[in-house]
Amino acid sequence: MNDFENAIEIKNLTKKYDGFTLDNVSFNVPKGSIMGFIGQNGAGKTTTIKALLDIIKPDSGSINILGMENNHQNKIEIKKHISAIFDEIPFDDAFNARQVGFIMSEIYSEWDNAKYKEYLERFELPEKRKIGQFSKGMKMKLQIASALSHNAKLLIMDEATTGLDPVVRNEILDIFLEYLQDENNSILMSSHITSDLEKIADSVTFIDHGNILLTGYKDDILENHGVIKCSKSDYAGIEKSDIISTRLTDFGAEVMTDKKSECMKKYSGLVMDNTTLEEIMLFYVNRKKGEWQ
Amino acid sequence: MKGLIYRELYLSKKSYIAGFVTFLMIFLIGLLFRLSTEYGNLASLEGDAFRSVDIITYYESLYVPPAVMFFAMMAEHGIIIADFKSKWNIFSYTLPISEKKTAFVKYLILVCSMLAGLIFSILNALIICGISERPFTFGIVKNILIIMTCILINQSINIPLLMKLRSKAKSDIVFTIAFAMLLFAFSKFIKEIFTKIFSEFSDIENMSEAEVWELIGKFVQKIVDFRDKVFLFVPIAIIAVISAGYYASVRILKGREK
Repeated sequence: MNDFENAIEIKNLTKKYDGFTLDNVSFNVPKGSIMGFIGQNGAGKTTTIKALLDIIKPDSGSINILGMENNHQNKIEIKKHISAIFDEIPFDDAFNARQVGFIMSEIYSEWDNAKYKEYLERFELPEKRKIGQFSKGMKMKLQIASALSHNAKLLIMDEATTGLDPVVRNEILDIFLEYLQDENNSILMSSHITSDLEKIADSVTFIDHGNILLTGYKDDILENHGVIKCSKSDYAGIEKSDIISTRLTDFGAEVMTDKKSECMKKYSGLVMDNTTLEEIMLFYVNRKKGEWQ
Repeated sequence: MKGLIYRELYLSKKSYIAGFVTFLMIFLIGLLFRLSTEYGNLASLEGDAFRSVDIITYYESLYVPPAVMFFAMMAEHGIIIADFKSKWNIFSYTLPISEKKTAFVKYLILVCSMLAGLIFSILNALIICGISERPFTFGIVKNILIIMTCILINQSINIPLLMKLRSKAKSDIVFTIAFAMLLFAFSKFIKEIFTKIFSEFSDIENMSEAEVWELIGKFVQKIVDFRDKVFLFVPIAIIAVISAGYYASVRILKGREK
């Protein structure tokens, strides 16, 4: 692999289905970072990830992974260095952890069986019990153990923490932070559980109806966005160019802006609250409506 | 590739064991019938009754166990559907393995399992011929190979069909239609043979026992002649159908998900 700045570079990725189009999606995942890929159900997260993982063929656009163009010549080489983690373990319930390790060891040339066993021990996963008898959390941990045991430089996860309890989710997020201690490792994590991404993501990309709404460093996004809480009469005085969208309540209005520091000076009499990724997603998704409840 | 082969064999384990046990049971039943026909109760039958029982039990015990064995070797059915359920088929696209390797493993296992089935079938035939004190002829091997080829053709087409249709029910519908068409063609063929033979015998109702057996002998000879002609194409059919199935499978895998 050549030296590269971004673990993933997506340019103008397009994929059309009946009733949905992934429309010129572009974003980068910097090397050594974790990017949260956020969107509501049906926004296009899984379609984007499937295109990245060579599960579907995009209609147009280019994808570079780990400095290599994701084409026919490079795809096997790329796949040696990436791991995909899905919301469900893709192994038949009849297998046990030991068999999964054996199968994967024959697929990946850089498989590290000692590391795999270490993860099994750490996650307290029995080697000989069938996967069908595992809980959802155990299955996810097994998937992660397998994903982290062949020296992958990039983890691509699609809703990997969905359906897990907060304790298991926390444990898994800690493992990902550990994984990122190596600056050469990167993670793209799609989720609609924004609280997880607020904990660990370095950057985020919002997608809705196949379009990228926002992409950038998480801290910058949170720093630049705020919610003005005001009465309806005060709301009338806020310029349209400062508004992403407005949630109208019985008591007044909550106005999302992406010019937080500027608006704090401009509307100094109004309350400006910090916001969360979840709120940002909600307000951006309702941007076309302008005002919503 | 070892990992993929291990995976497929492990998932087929139950199917192979069930198939082998069924083969064994049918083999034993056939064996008991043959022993009875040669040395037991059925041996006390006389004339036409004995002749009929002898023919039926002999051919049943020669060819039904192999047919069962070869059907049991078609474990790929279940694995392909199981792979869609577990989403292994999607996950496998993210692994550093080519579509050619994935398809190659499936057909390698198919061919090896068919060969294993062939060995058991020939062993079965050797035992039955030994007990029946009849020669183990190349004709018996030809018949077994033709049965194997039919099932191999079925499975070689079924693998890419299941990959494409993603549903056993849809694949079964296609095969039922194809099988019905083949059965219709076969019945036409048998009817034609019967018509030709019966045209040589004007008064069947007044035929003697010896003449009836002569008629049956001619019918069987026609089938054997046809079988010998078909057998010439068996090696070509096996290679052609496996190659076509393999290439179709690779193409379907390369087409990716929609």
